[in-house]
Amino acid sequence: MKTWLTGNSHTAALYRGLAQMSPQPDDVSVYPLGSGAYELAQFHEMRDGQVVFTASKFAEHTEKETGQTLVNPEDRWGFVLGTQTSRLFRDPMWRTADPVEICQPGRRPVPSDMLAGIIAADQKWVLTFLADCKAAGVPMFVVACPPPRSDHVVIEDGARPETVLFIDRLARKTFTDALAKLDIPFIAPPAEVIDDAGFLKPEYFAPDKSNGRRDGHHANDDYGQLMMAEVLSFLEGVKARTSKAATG
Amino acid sequence: MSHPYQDLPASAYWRSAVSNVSPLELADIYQPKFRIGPRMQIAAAGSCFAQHISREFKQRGFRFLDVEPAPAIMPAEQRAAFGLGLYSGRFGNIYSVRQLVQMFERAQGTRKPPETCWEQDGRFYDPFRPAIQPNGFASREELDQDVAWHLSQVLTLLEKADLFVFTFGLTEGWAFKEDGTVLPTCPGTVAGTFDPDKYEFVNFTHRDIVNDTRTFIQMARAVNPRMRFLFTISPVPLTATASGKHVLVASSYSKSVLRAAVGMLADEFAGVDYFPSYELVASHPMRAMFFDPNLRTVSPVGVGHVMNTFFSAHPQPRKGRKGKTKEADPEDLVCEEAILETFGK
Repeated sequence: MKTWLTGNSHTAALYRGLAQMSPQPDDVSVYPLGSGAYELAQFHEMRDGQVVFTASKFAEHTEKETGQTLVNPEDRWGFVLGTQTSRLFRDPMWRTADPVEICQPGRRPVPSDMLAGIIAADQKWVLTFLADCKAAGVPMFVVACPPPRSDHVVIEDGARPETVLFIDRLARKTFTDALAKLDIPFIAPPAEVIDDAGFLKPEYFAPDKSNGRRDGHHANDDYGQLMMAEVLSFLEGVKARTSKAATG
Repeated sequence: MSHPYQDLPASAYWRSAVSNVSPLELADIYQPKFRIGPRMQIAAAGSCFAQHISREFKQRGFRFLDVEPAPAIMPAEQRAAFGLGLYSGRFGNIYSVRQLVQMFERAQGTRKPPETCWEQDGRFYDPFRPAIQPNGFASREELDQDVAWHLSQVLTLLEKADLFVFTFGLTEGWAFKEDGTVLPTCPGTVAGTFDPDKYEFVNFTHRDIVNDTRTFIQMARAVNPRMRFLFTISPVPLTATASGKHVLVASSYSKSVLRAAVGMLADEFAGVDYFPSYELVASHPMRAMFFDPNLRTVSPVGVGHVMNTFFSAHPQPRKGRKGKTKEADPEDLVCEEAILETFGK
């Protein structure tokens, strides 16, 4: 069964990581849907029981790779969607605010229900998409985005590292709890890429862009290789279980 | 022999100002005492009708203060439920000027209310903003932190604002018997539990309104001597009365007291102006056409009429600010470039 691994800009590290692995799996392809900004609005719809991408960039990229604009349930899909938590912690408000649970004196306490509402809204369309894929019988799993980077510009601008990590952890937990309810497997980053505080280790930072634009957000090829090893290991497990079920 | 009613402007005669013109075209019904300029920092509070004024100030490019802004990432449809973006602070509806004065007293630390938390089904409510957080706060600590931050920010309004806009709502209210601290809603309606031994009904008199407003003006000018004030009266009638009278009679009393008090104050202070939103909606020449079928809430057309009347006297300071295009976050550009560099897409 063909596996398509696709999603936001973090698929780039997976693509580059996979390209450096040997041997190359012949049944796994990585391509991007579009940047994480698309996750904040509806990007798909159900047509005749199938999930079809409606965001033009998602549809265009998927059609170019697969020949269709739909999520074909005959294939297996890995989605790199839903844990791009920087959308949440990069809000300028966090320069002077903290989640109420860890709020420091003199900073604005953001109530827990308010933050939960913001997170729910951020994840709404990805979870709707995944639930529809589930209902359409698409075999799938979700791949995590990298942990936050300690050199993210929001920290330089005044956000507390503890706040960034708190928001990241809460958002990931909210998301993975929802995935568990949908019975969708989730592949988390391996422990070796995360430092003691909870940030991505600096050796896995992606370099700045070729045009000089600073990147305080993405992971590099080494990270991509480690994550792809996790993905391929997961797929081997799925194959083994499928094979056992077929012969047993 | 001449007399004072000769040679007055058309707006002074009922026939020329009202009877013989469309109610939509009442010329000079609002003659501002002062201009609201582009550099003026504006704060707004009051009853629910004040939300419209706040929104319009923002949309029309005025310098509207919001000391507790909504997070940029919070969807617009969530904001009002958390009391964000409605006024110049997250203080919810302030129906009486006494409530306004006491809010600043609490912010200044000179008022310590008998109760600062209502617990209900494991959730915690601010008695002075019972609807500010859907289903209350998760813990007492969370509520206390939020109130402390809220009051610290409210206090800055008096320092920052050049113009304070307040919409008077009604004269009826509920207060702690112990010290007269006023509540925005009757305990037991939105949150809390009604206890006749602790809370009492109040119906502010003309004297109360005038004195409380003078107190507010003094309080504000002690911080900011040049502050100006724009007062309006909500045309929305009472939803219910606890006065024992018919709600229409009680509503008429409430609005009449407020109208008389605000008129007196506007005549008394050079820096106080009155905008007739009440007359533009609720006076009989309007034939109730700006109310919804319940004859209480104001229709969007009515709100638009009021706002257009107000802002035609205060032209938009900077064209082009309305509908300003949102710039892409730099991180989104980095994401696009990560895809482009790797995939060539």
